[in-house]
Amino acid sequence: MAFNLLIVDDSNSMRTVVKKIVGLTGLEVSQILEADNGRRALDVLGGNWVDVVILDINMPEMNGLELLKRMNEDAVLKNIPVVMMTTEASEAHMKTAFEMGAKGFIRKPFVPEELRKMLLGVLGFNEKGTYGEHQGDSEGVDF
Amino acid sequence: MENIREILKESIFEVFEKMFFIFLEPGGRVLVHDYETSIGFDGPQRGTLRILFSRPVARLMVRNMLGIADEKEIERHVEDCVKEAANMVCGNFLVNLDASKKFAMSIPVFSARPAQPPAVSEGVHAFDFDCEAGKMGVILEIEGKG
Repeated sequence: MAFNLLIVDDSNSMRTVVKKIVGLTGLEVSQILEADNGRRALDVLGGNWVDVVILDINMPEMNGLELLKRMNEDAVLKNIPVVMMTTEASEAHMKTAFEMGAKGFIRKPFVPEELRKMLLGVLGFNEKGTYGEHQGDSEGVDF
Repeated sequence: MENIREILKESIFEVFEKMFFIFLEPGGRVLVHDYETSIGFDGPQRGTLRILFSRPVARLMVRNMLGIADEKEIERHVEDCVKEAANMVCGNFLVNLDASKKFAMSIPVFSARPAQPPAVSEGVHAFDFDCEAGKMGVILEIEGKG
């Protein structure tokens, strides 16, 4: 089953890399949407069906944690799984992000396999890319 | 202090190898670079990380990261790409320095034909690297206990 993905990162290069990597995962993606800050991401989320969000933290205008907070306050948006994709991967940042509703954390720089596993995990796909129990390593952290 | 230098060096190597497929080696110092990207951080320790690039190195980063060959297209992505490099090096350095502490990082700033790097003194760590496309440098100014 195909899914829609929103990539939120102020770096156009990083969004391009993530799109390429997603293309290499073998997962069926209907639409990849993009936003360069949290405010624009809210606009995209308001006008499109999104199944999963990949979210940077350090962005101008509205950063990733502010967006996460706004999504969590919305009855519909809080159900969309969010994977934090950031360099700011301290235990303190991760704890904050998970408490605010993030479902996963991937630290930049990463290799394609790490992103693939993360997407499979949060979307509930198994290793074959179909729905089922995920067999891969979980990148989520329990606190 | 030696610990800070080792941590920073590891962070630089990790980012450049994983994200840009560039393998750096220690090199001689160059006083003039084509581009600079800097990023500040604040928390238990505060400071600024500057990465200085020659134009060919910056272009190689774009080529390798985005897989594009068109020269005009490469030039269009240089600023964004080197800013992301600074963001990743700084973030990795801070996590490796102390993952239990929370640091805030600024938005990276890019400049062409930057001023000369500061002289090395206490709290200033400078590295010079060579790679297949040319030279680059990294300067960390850090305050607080090391």
